[in-house]
Parts: sequence; structure tokens; C-alpha cells
Amino acid sequence: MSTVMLGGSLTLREATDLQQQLLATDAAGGELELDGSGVQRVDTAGLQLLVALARRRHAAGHRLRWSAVSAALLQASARLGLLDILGLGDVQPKGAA
Amino acid sequence: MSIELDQFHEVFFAESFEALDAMEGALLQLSPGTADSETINTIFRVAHSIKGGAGMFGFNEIASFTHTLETLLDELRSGRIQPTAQLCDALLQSVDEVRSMMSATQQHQVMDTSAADVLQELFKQAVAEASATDAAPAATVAVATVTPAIAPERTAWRIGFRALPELLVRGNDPLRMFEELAGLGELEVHVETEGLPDLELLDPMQCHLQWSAVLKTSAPRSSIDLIFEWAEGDCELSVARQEEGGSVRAPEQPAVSSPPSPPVPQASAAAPRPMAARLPIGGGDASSIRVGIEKIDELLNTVGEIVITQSMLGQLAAGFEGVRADRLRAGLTQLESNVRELQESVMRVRMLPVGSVFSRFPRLVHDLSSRLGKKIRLQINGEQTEVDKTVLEKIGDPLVHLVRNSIDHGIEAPADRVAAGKSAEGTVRLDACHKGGAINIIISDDGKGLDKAHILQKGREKGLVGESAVLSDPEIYDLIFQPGFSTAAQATDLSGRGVGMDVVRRNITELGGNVELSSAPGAGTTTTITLPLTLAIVDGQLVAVGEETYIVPLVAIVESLQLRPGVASQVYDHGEVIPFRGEYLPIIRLHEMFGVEPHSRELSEGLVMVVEGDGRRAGLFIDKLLGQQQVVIKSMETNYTRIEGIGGATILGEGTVSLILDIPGLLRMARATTRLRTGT
Repeated sequence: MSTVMLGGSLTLREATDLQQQLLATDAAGGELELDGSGVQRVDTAGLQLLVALARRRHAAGHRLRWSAVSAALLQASARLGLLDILGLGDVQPKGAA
Repeated sequence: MSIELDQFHEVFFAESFEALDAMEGALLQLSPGTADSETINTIFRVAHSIKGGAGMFGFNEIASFTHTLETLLDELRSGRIQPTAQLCDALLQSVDEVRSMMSATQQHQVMDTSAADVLQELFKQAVAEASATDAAPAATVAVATVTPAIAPERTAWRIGFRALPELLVRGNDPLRMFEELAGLGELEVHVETEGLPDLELLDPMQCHLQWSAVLKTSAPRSSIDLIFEWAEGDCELSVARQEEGGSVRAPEQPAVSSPPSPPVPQASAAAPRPMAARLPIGGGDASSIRVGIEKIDELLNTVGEIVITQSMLGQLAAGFEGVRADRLRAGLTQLESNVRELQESVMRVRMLPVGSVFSRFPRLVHDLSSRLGKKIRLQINGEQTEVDKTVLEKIGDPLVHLVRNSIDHGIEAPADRVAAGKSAEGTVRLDACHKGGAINIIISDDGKGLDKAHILQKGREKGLVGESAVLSDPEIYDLIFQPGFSTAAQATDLSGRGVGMDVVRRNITELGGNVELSSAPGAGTTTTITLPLTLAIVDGQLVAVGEETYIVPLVAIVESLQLRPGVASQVYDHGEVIPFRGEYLPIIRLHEMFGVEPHSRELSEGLVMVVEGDGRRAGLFIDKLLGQQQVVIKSMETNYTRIEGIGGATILGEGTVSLILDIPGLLRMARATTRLRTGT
């Protein structure tokens, strides 16, 4: 199982890079774990890419797992009603506030 | 990939400057002691939108300042703070500060926030005082009543939100909007991921998610609208009150479970009518678009070319014969009327209501009257009157000068007014109306009027009038427009540096207009400015001098004369003159001015056209009159170079270039050459 570290900022500015990063991650195959503890800034564009990754994993029969999630990421996901889709429903915040 | 935000900055600045104008207007209506909620709401909305935009683009100084402003306005809105005169002035100053901060940001200059910081402190203090006096009683009430009293007033709103492609790149983030919504009350959000493409295929710059939400809040609908204000046009939004009857229905599924799930009921209920419940924000602007002025000018230019081509075709067709030639001519006549209409429509696009210039005066009058301790009421009429944008832009400064003059020199101090049997409050009026092919702008006041004796004395001191010369009233008033003339007993910083009125007249003359003064002692002064509606076309009289055709603007022509031999006489110092209605007119021989070979050199063989410019008259000696025609003015400066005495050029039907005479310039030129020749 590989763990992928997400950047500090997941916003529209980084969206194209993030898309490529997530695609590469997904292409590696197998079980996958995301580390979102370092995420300080996130917006709709960033979250949308995570949702797209989650759906892709789901379609392939995998789940999106999290090793850690920052409060900022958790709060933003909750605000847009994305906790369950992202598999963050029962995750406690950790790392960057 | 980085996003090019500059173009959105420009939109933000343009809209914010407009919004600030609206805010200023509303502030001026806000009289101390009365908190008109409509007015305060307008002001609040402006501060709120600017704060939102500035925050979005990272203009932190502006965002921080407008945030403080907004907090204060919120207190005003709730009635916890009453608008005092002091506060109103501070708010007006804050409009200036925001303006200058935005200009500085726009031009990438360092901004000076010292004044803003002072204001910000003042506002914070006012808010702190208000909440301090408020806190004690409010606390006890709150404990006792918060649950029963506020809960029933809570309304549940269903909000449906779908982004349009441009939403994210315009800097609007749904996350931020939902955060703000959550700040209003209890928010349940449901996402719909149906429209989300596969990770590999999706465009990360677009928002593919949709949301439906239920917000339970005691805040008014307008607070919800405000949140989405900046996204207007970039999203489909529906806001509807949750159906009455029964309790607020909690969503069946508290959250969507697996990604490709069907939309929740709320989403489908809200989605079918997104347009019906569109935000009312900016409803008035929805039917207008912003177009760069250069695009319109290009259009106008092209239409001008078409007019010329059309008249060339017309002249060509006049020589044809036969049945088909008749049909050709009929077609050309049709074309002519269509082109004429097209030209007028394009001109109208450039026309703007004069109100956009007038709108700066309430503030000016407010500031000056409080500074001078005078009571002044400003009356504005005819602000809907339309005039060409170029004219409009250039008329602002002269108008400011004239209004300042009225306030500074015209209107008396309240005590003096009462002593003169007038009401303590003076009135300054601004009127605009169309008159023929021109627009009249009239600035009048009910002040003390012009002091003729004083002006005359001053004119003599300055050597503008001979010691024994007897002047008529208009001639005396005309002295004011002479360079270097100032009647102010002591120059103030407002007016009276003596650089004013001659500049005012020059600006207006350059626009092809003129300015007149009339005054009655004790009753006030009226200044009438006449301006052409447009600078793009002119009604012209075609005149022939030798083989050349010149165009004289019709407005400058008084009449044309055929002289008997021997009427003209040579006068020392003035050259050749002819008698005309009790005065002597200098003769300007056009062929001499422009070095053209004329058909006749005898005055009696040609015609003398009496023209007027800058209040002076002269006789233009020409060979003959040709037709009258509306011509499209082509600028000499842009196409060739500036020539004294020539206002522009045009292309005539047969394809030749004809020069349009600048009569005031020509008269100045003639005076100069006469002086040279006579050696004075």
C-alpha cells in the first residue's frame, strides 16, 4: 500500500497539477492511502478533484483511505457535503489546522 | 497553470467605482437622525460587495477597511447607532478613501492608508461604544427569550446551486459562499456528483458539482442574495422558501452515501425552476452590456465611410439615363435613408445622459457649503438629457468651476441672505435640455448677482477696458472670461485664482460650444452653456474659393451679403472693413489666408459671409455659396497635423477632400495678420 502526501494548498491555482498527481497516483494501482495532514488551503476546485478520484477508485472497486486529514480539509469537505463521498465521515482532524 | 486574473480585476474596479458612486449618492441622502433603512441597505450592499471582491482578489487593505466599514453599517442598519452629521461625513470620507485605495491598487502604486487607518479606528470605536451600551440590557433579554422568540422567526430556505463554466475562473468559490451561508444559520448541504466527469477527462478549471441546501435562518432573504451577488451570471441559483405547513422537513438522507447515487429529492425539487427564482440582483443592468468605446468609434468611422461612398454613388448615378438608371437611383435613395438611420443609431450609442456628470455635484455642494458655512440646496433637472460621450467627458471640469463660482461668489452667507430678505438657504440649479441640434446646460444661483461696477473697475485696472469706454452689460460680463481676470476680493482655495473663467470658455469653445452670462443684482447669476450634441458630424455650408471647396459650420454663419462696389473702406489698424448693422466688420479674404487663386478679387463680384466666433464677427470673402450638407468630421490631428484656422476635414461626394473652417481660430489668425501688416 502506498501513501500519497497531498500538498499544502489544493486550490484552483494548483488544480491542473493536482489532477496530474492524482491520476498518476491512481494509475499506480493497488491500495492507496492519502495523507491530507498538510493541507492548509483548499477550495471547491481542489475538493472536486478529490471527489473525482474517489469515484474513480470506487468504480474500480477500491475505497479512498486517509492516513491523516487536516482540520481545514475536513471542515471544507463538510461544508460542501462531501464527507461521505470522500470517506471522511468518521475521520478525526490531525496535522495542519 | 496560473490564472490570468487581470481582466477580472478590471471588471471589479469598474463595477466597484460605479458602486461607490451609488454609495456616495445614498450617503448624501442620509440625513442625521433619520436612519432610512432603504438608503442604509444600499450603502451596506456596496461595502459588502467591495469587501467580497477585494478579499477574493487579495486586496487586503481594501478588504480590511471595507470590513470595518461594513461592521459599522450593520450597526447603523440595526439602529444601534444613529447617523450623526459627524458620522455621515466620516462615511463620505471613507468613500474617498476606498476610491483612492482602489485607484492605487489599479495603477500598482503604493497606497497611503494613513487617513483610512484613522477612519477605521473611528468606526471601530463607534461600534465598540454601541455594543458597550447595548450589552448589558441585551444580555438579560437574550437569556430569557432567545429560544422561544427567535426560533419561530426562522425561515427555511431551499437553495439550489449549479455553477456555470466561468464561475471558478472568475474567482467565485462555492466553498466560500456556503461558508457564508452557514454563518447565517443552520445549513444542510447535499452535493450532486452526477455531472462530474471522470478524473482523467474533467476540466479542473470548471465546477462540475451541484448542490442543494436547506438553510434555516432568521436572516432576511437579502442576506442570502448578497452572498451570491458576485457569482451572479456565473451560476444557476434558486432560492425559495420551504413550503409552509408542517415543520421544516429534514432531508431524508442526511448525507449522500455512495458517489453515483441519484439526486436527493430536494435537488430535484429545486432544480427545475432555477430561472424563475433567479436573484433580483442587478436586474436593471441585465439588458445592457459594456462595450469598449474604441469599438463604437470604429463603427462610427466605418459608417462615416459608408455615408461618403453612398453620396459618391449618388452623384455618379445622377448622370445615368434610362429605366434601369431610375431603378438604380430609387435603390440609392433607399440606401441613403438606411445609412442615415444607421449613422444616427451609432451616434446614439455614444450618447450618455448628462446625469453622470451632474452626479458629482451633490457631494461638491455638500462639502463646499459646510466648509464655507453657507446653506445651499442643489436642484438638478434634465439629467436624462443625452449628449456625446466626448462632450460629456470634457464638460465636467468647466461645470465644476462654474458651480464652485456660484457657491463661492454667488450665494451669500445665511445672515446676509436674511438681511436681504431672502431665505437663509441659497439655491444652485443645474438644468440640461436639448435645443435644436444642441444641448443647453444652465447653471443658475439665487445669490447676489454680478457686481457690474466692480467688474468694470477691475477691467480698467487690468487694462482690459479703456478709461472712458462705455460698455453694455453683456460686454461687462464678457470681461470675466478674459484671461487673467479675477473679481474675488481675496482669492480662496476654491476659486478666484483668476485662471478660471477664460479656461472655462476656452474648453467650451474647443467643443464647438459657447457660454453666456446673465445676472441681476440681488437675484442671482445664470450661466448658459450651449454645446453640440456630437463632435462627429457637423451641419456645414459649402463655399467655393477659386477651385477649392471649404465648409463653414452652419452655427457660425450669421448671414451672407452681396456688396455694392465701394462699400468697403480701409481703416488704419483694422485693415479692410464694411459697415454692417451699425458696426464695422473686418473682412477676411479666404483666398489670402489660404493662398488660393480666387475667381474674383473685387468684393462686389463675390460674396461676403458674416460669421461669428468667440463673440466676435467678421466678413469672410468668398467666391460663391454651394450646397448645405451634413458632413462627417475627420480629425486633422490624427490624419495629418493641426492647422490653425482649420477644424477638420471631410470627403465630399465626388471624392475630394474639403477642409472644415474653424471660425474662432480663423478670426484669431486674421487679427494676428492684420496687426502684423499694419505694424501695431
